[in-house]
Amino acid sequence: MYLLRLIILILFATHISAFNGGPIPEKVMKKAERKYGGLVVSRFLEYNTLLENSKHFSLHQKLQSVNNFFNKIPFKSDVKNWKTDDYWATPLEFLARYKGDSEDYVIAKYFALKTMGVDTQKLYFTYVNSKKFKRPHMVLSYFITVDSDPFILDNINPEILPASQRDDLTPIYNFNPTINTQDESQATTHKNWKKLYKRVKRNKL
Amino acid sequence: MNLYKQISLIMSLFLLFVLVSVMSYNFQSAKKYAQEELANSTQNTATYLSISLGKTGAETSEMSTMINAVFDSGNFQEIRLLDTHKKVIFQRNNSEDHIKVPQWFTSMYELKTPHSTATISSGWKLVGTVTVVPMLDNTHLKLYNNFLSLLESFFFFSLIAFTLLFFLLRLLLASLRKMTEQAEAVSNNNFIINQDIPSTTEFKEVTLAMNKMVTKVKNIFEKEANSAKEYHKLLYTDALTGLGNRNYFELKLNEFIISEEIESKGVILNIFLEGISYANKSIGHEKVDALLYELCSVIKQQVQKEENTVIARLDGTKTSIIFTNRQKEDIEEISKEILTQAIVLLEKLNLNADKCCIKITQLRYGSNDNVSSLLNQIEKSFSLTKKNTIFFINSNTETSINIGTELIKSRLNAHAVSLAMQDVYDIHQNILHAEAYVRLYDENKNLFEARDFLPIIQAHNLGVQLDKNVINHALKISASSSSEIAINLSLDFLQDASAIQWLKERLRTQGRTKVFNFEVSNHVLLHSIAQANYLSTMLREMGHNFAIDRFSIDENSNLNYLQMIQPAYLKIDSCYLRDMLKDENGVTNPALQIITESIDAKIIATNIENSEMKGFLQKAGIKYFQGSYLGEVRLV
Repeated sequence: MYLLRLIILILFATHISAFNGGPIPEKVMKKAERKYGGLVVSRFLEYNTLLENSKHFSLHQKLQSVNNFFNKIPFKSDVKNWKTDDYWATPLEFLARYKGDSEDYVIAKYFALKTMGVDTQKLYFTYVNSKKFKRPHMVLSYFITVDSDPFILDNINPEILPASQRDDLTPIYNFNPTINTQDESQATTHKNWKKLYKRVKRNKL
Repeated sequence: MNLYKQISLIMSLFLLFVLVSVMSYNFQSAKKYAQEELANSTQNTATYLSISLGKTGAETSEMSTMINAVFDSGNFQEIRLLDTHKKVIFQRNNSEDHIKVPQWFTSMYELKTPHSTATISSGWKLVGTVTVVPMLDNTHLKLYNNFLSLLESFFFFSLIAFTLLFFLLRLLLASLRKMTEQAEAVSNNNFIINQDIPSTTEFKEVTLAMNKMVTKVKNIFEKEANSAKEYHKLLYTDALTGLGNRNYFELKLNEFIISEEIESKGVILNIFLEGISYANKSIGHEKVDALLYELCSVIKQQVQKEENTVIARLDGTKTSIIFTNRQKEDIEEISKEILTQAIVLLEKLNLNADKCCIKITQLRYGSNDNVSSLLNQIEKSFSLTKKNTIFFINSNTETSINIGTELIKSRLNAHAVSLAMQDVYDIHQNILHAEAYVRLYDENKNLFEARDFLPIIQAHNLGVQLDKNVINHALKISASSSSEIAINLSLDFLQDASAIQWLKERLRTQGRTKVFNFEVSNHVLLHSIAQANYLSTMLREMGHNFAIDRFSIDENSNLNYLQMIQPAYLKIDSCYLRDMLKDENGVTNPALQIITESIDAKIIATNIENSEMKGFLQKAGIKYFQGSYLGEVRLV
């Protein structure tokens, strides 16, 4: 069974170029269309257009456009969406299903900004506690410099604000996939990140 | 290499491959697991430590204390605290210590040292990073212990696997082993039936085929043996009494006279019923036949206790008994008893004693006599005998040569026996082997043949010693002899287990330079079949031959002993062979040849004295000959 899966993966790898953040290839779109219907293609095309337009954007515009683009997607907990406690969806899965939880927004924004050329060493997955909802939450933090106050890309509050203005959130832990090395795949032993990275490479839908 | 070894080797290699592969895979899995566990625990430590350090509010002294507390557990090579600009704030280092695990073991594999880093944040503010590097010692030790248990399991399972393999193969190939034994037995002309039919289809078919073939050969052997025996009976048996007939008498007497052994001297007792025409007229044929039958019964009854005798009915009224190695005095009692009982038989029938009576004569024979003159003398002796009396006549020639017992003993003790040889030839006049005959010289250089001193040898139980002398002498001269040598063994030697062991040792020290043929007479062999079989097997295993001398069909035993003994050749008197090869219509009877061919034995015709005999036998398919016509006995 494992061998069969490996053969299928190799076949796919030769026919469909890896998405790795975007733009989304046509073959992936066709595959998504077969699985999710025609509507998903328009979302993918919209995403590709965002990436294309961002070439001339300033950093602020990039952060804003990505934050706005993904914040349109409705929130849905992993338990309801994936029937599991915690699942880190790939940007393709998030876009195709068009629903997800806080980690899914952060992941999708991270890969989109990475594709737009934003320095990933300045992007952190920040584990926070939402004082308002009294539950764990995750936001994407952008540090202009290592000593500066980060900008928070959040799906609860769509406005990008400096962290000092986000009293509703208590930061717990910052995670950066490239903390050890520039290679994201080898960066960490963080299991969720590793699994996610593999699925992203496979264009998992 | 036989099939058993080949399969064992292949299966062993395969098992070894599987076990080594499994062991290697297990070890690799354990290593991978250990590596992952090490990386995970290191990452967890880094993460927890970074969260704890963040709570100190970036206070360096507090952070250093916290790091010291974690580092002093001894499980880390290094814990490094960097600020946001990657400048070292605090660092602890410890060197690796490999003393617990042998160096060769750690050099067998590569264990990556994980470096796990986590971000330290104080509120939203980044403080720096903490990097944790673990000690590999514990992981190495765990892997080493795992390796030792794997090795232990490997040896344990190997032991079980190889033991099982050994027994399974033995079980599986048991039928093949039996087939091989049967095939080897067939090659050695030993025809055995394999009763255990294997269940494996291929083995079963081969076994059944071999059994069928063996049965066929056995049937042929038995059929021909019966045919030969029947033919022998027809040729040499008197139909009325079941005794030997005139042919048998002539054959045996001739055999004795020319024998090198003790049978060459003796006494012939002849019983003649005179007046049979009168008896037939007086009481009728049936009663006369009954009388003759009863007379023969009386003779048989008297003679059966005596060893080395031959009884034959020469014609309707004459019966003769050959007593070998006996004097006139030895048979006096028997002669009188037969006469008395014969007279009683006649008296019962109320026959006129003047017209019908019994005449008994005794005639001495020796090696200088010949059969026809002896038969003439027997005929003449009756006319010289009065009715119901015993008459003794001396044979014409009997040179008296005497050799003393002491002289024989001294010769044997001094290993001073001499040998004479007679060659055996094939049809191309090539020498097959030379038969050794023993000779002794006295002080006056008089030469004595075996028959001259064998009675003394026998009387003083010197047979084994004589045979040992002959064997030693023959083995000694074999180096200078171009042909193989055949040596006769006596009954005493054959029945003496220590003598057989002596022979085995003697042949072993001699080495395998030349093949020796050891012969025993058919008569001796039938007395000691078990010992003969032992000797035959022993000689065959040592690369020498066992053979039968003076072979003739014995009325009281079947020929199956030939299959068991597997002689290399049979020496058969040419007259007997001629009779056995030609049936009553003059057509060749191949029974004897078929029998010998089926056991891969040669037939050697002995006592060839003229070209006619050799020509006849050669035409009948005999390929080996021995006798004065081809080559005299010569002194060595």
